[in-house]
Amino acid sequence: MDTTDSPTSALDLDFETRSRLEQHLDAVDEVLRRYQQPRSARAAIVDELENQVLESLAQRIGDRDATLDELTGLLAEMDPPEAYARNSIDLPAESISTGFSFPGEVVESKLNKATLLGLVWWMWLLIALITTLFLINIEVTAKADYRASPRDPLWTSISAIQTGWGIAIFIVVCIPGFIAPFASPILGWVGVSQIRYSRGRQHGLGLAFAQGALLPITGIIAFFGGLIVAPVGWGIHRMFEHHKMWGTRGPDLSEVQWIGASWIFGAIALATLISLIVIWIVVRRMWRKTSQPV
Amino acid sequence: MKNWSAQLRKGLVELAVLAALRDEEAYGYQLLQKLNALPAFGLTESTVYPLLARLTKDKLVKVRVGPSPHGPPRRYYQLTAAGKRHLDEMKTHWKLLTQSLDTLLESASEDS
Repeated sequence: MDTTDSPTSALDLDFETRSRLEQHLDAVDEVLRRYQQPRSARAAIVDELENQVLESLAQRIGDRDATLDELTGLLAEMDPPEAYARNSIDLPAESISTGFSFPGEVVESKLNKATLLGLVWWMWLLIALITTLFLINIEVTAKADYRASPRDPLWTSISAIQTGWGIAIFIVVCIPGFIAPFASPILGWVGVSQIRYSRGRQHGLGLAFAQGALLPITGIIAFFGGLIVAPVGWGIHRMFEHHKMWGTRGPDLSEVQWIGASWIFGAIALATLISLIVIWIVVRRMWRKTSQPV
Repeated sequence: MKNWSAQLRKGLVELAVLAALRDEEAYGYQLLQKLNALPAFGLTESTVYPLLARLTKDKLVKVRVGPSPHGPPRRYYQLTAAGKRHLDEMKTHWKLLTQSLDTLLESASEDS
């Protein structure tokens, strides 16, 4: 889109007349806002309307200043602000053509497809995990070395995952399932975006949000947990190393266990507390953003 | 009867707007005047401007902003390649529809 600076209006309106025009334009904008027209579309429609009013006035009265009566007369000939909704309510075909919905129009809300796919994908991860455990733990008999004695081969017990069919199942079922932690959050955010722009035609915002936020939240827990628990573990390890190196008597085993356990429990509690606070702040901010109409 | 006629015209607004922009660009009020110069329409700004906003969003028309002697910058609308394709599809469908209706109406008048 190419932009050119707006020239100064050649048609001057006194304060009262200008206020009347602004009042009309604001009323149209309010109707459009109520029917969820996006801000950019509202601005374009109101600009078109303002241009039309000023050009019509100029055609009627020439270059002289327009009076309030002349403007009021012109506005009376034009569509009232409620026409931007009313025309469309009376005529449902129009509401479809203008792309936004109106009261009285029955809109069937459907669960967002990206969200549904994300949910199915998480369930697939569960199936993938169960299948993988099954493949690892189930033992099957296989020929150990059939070349040594083809007529009487040695038989051995191997895990199902080492067999051809086991590998095939792993590739087809398990690998796509293991992609879920990456695919589902992406689908969740796609879902959030689509639901926000659907103007009530799609639902499932909470579910889409949960899918989208799950991985970042797991990341926050891992980050703060790791940040606090790891140095504690490293400190305990260093204490043992120190006593071993210098041959000094360290604390008793029971003493070490008590110190270690207290430190670790303390660190975990602190990590959990910080994670919960950060998660609360992040989730609240994200939810507020995603719940806002666009 | 009045409602039927209005419904029909409303359904054709998109086709009319796209057809009016086929050969040359136009700004909103200019387009409205062009459409209202034809006897069959009788469109008002509350129908045409939201439609133009929707067509822009759907990338069927593109906007060039130019100076206006009176108010805010004028928004000149012109068809995009997708808009031209869409218009051609609508035109084909419209021709088929009118041919079929003509056949029906002619056979009805012959019967009577």
